[in-house]
Amino acid sequence: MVAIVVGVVALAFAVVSIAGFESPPPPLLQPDEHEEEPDGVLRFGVVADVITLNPQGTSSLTDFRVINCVFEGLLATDARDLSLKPGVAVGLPDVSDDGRVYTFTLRDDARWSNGDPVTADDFAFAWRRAITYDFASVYSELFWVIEGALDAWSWREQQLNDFDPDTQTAQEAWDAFQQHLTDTVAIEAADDRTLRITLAAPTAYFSELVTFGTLMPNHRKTVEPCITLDESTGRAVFDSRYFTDPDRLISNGPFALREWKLRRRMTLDANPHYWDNTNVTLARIIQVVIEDNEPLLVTRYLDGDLDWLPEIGQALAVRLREADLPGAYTVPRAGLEYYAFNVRDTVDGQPNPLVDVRVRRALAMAIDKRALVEKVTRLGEPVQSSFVPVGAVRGYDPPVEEDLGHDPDAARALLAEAGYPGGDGFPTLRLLFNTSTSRERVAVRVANQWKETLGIEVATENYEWRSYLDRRRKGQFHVARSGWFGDYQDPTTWLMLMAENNPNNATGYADPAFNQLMRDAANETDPPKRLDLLRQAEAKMLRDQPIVPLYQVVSLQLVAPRVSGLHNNAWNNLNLERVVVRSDSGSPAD
Amino acid sequence: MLTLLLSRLIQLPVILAVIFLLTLTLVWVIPGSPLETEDARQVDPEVLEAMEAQYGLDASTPVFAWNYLVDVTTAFDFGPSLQYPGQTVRGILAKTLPVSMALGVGALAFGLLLGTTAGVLGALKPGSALEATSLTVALIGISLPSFVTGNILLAVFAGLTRRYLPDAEVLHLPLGGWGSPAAMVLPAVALGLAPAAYIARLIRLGLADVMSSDFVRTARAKGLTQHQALFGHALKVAFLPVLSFMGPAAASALTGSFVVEKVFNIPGLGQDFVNAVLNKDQFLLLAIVLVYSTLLILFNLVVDVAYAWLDPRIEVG
Repeated sequence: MVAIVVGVVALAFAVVSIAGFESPPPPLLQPDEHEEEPDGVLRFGVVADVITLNPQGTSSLTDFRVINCVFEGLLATDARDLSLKPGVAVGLPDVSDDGRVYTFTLRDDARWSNGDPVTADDFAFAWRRAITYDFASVYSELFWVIEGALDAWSWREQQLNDFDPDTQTAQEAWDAFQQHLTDTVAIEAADDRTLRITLAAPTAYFSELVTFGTLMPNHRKTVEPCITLDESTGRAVFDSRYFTDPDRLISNGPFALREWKLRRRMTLDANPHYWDNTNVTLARIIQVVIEDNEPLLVTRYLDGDLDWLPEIGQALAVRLREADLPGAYTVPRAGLEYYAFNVRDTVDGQPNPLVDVRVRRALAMAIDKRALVEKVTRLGEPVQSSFVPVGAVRGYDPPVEEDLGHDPDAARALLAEAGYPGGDGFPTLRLLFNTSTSRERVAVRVANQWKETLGIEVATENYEWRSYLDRRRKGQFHVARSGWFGDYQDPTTWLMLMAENNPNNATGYADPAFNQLMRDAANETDPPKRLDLLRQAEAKMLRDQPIVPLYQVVSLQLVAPRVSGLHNNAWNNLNLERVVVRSDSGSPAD
Repeated sequence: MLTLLLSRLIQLPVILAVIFLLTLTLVWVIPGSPLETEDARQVDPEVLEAMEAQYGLDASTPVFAWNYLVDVTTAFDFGPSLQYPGQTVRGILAKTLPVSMALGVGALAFGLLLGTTAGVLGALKPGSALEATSLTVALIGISLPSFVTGNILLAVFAGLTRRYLPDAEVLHLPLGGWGSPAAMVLPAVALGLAPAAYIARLIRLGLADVMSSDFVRTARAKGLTQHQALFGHALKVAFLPVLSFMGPAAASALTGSFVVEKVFNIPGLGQDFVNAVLNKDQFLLLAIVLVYSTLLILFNLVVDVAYAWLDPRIEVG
């Protein structure tokens, strides 16, 4: 009887094993000794896979790291000095005197990975797709600077709400919308090589913006057929499998997708049709995914199987930094960690003491940021006293309000002045953060500083990401841990957060003077004057203290000594196509 | 027997429908939107609304539930993954379920073999060192959680052997991952040790009981040796409790162990399940719950049938 059971099990085992293993077995963690690989392969390891390669469908930095390899925008950023360099466009755009009309000239040798020329229409198509309500592109808001874009979005939303399949076919509605896009949205492909954009207001950073992943082109000929129309609702449906399938995805960057095994590995090969392929030094890039297992990633790195680990979580990073591991570099990023104060009149129906700027300032001044980065976060994070990280934007010096530094006595005096001497009568302060060990340590530390310095009780409230967002959105907090990475090199990528009605403005801060300065800056065509207005706006906001900046985010990465040309900067622009990997040297532990 | 099969198969969709509704309700009460990915930014509310409309999530819960049920039953379409746009839930299941099943079958095979052997050996010589050893192994197997045994196995067979026995390549097992039979050995052992221990205990106790029962004494009196009585008659009866244990054990082993998959970095369904909960990826979550429930019900049915086959005294109906 046992023999029967064992036999059945063994048989089932054999069958399922064959089904379970793909053929040929993909080498994941075993060294790929038998696979023939070209010279110049960069292998990097991450703990979470790319979500999508749809440039208009993501806001994740992990995705953009790969999207920047497989697509190329009109302009690109030089990783060495963060200057703008030509991409598909031959050079910087012609800008009209009023700063609103940008004309890009495309190079005639730009090619898609199937050999087709990259045309102005491919950009226009991608951008129009990004502002189409049906496709709900996460980053549609970046296009609102273009004249007519926001209106077109709303127009389509209204059209769909009114859609009646009895009076109109989905195709008719779609055609009408396409006509509306052409007529009203100022994205114009004048000819194959000329793209003309008219902006709603002068937007000095528009040239920086076109380097961003969301503004990369689509190969219209193959992307357009992925759109189908739903007859009952009139909605257009996009088949996003296109962006996961190496056999279908056509891209225009230095690399093209060769293989993608979800949550295991992704292989990119040099794109032979890329216009600048003679300057591409890598033949292949492999992203290895080891989900949520950083120690294993580091082991593979030390074994010499991985060349680069672009991001290591806080806890392990601190240990690696202190262990002085070869190839461990810390890089300050264009992101900051800050605490947002709720400035609304009430919190959950109770009066909110934080409406008083003196209370907010007292809280800010009671935080010893230096102790925080030296004793808690421990990655050498630069302490931050402005909202725009120092050095993140060329030509912009953020205002630094010296008198808002760590000053326990002044903090106590301010709190007493606001009517809470020694914390008397102050309600329990609710400090909200999302689950993470390092964030918890920071929160506990800050809570202690507030308790010791100001004598107020603090309840730290820890929620997983979505619950945290939900509470933050509903204003159910006094203080909320927040973080922000800039998208493009301009102060507005941070400052717009504090504008009224910005969805990421958790504080409820709505200051007419700040908003006016932001509007003035948006209409200013003279770059130095504009930056000065932005500086004034930031200074005003910092004085009002709806937030307290804590520190600039620092990431630790491991780069094997055999890798050169990996220019790490504060931004996500790495120019991986210029990286060189020597094959001779052994593991970094040697 | 036919009545049993029929009635169970009729119950199946009803049970599944109840499970589906319960899960859906639970998913619905979790706050936040599945479309807001971790540590990305908060999406513009207008855009978020459009995104929800894109997936039919803007409909009321009953409408959504009905549409989803229709898709699943008519087209076997579990919808898109909200976490990975461009991947369908069916595609994800097709990739990860076979991996988990292969691992689960390996673990069960290991568990059955080791458990039965240890149980029988222990029962053959009560009070001997053999019995003490098999009981000790069983105790360890039951007490140690799989992430501990998993990490110990990794340390020994992927770490120490490489360092101290550099020539014994057969003992150099992969650190993790999936793709070769060698990569399956350690996770299957880690996952199979606990069932092995249970099985050993069940068989050991069952045999002790059965060997002193009347029908075995009769068999022995008729001249059967102890071995003949044990393998010919007693084991069959002592195996019954193992069978009832195997139903749920098989369902849970086949649909993936999150912990073991995590420790060994295996791209299986268990990881998907936990990720789907964390990401509120409701299409994927509902699909996994349905797959798991179906397997659980089916395996219990198989166990009941096997019961009747092994022990004619049991009436199933």
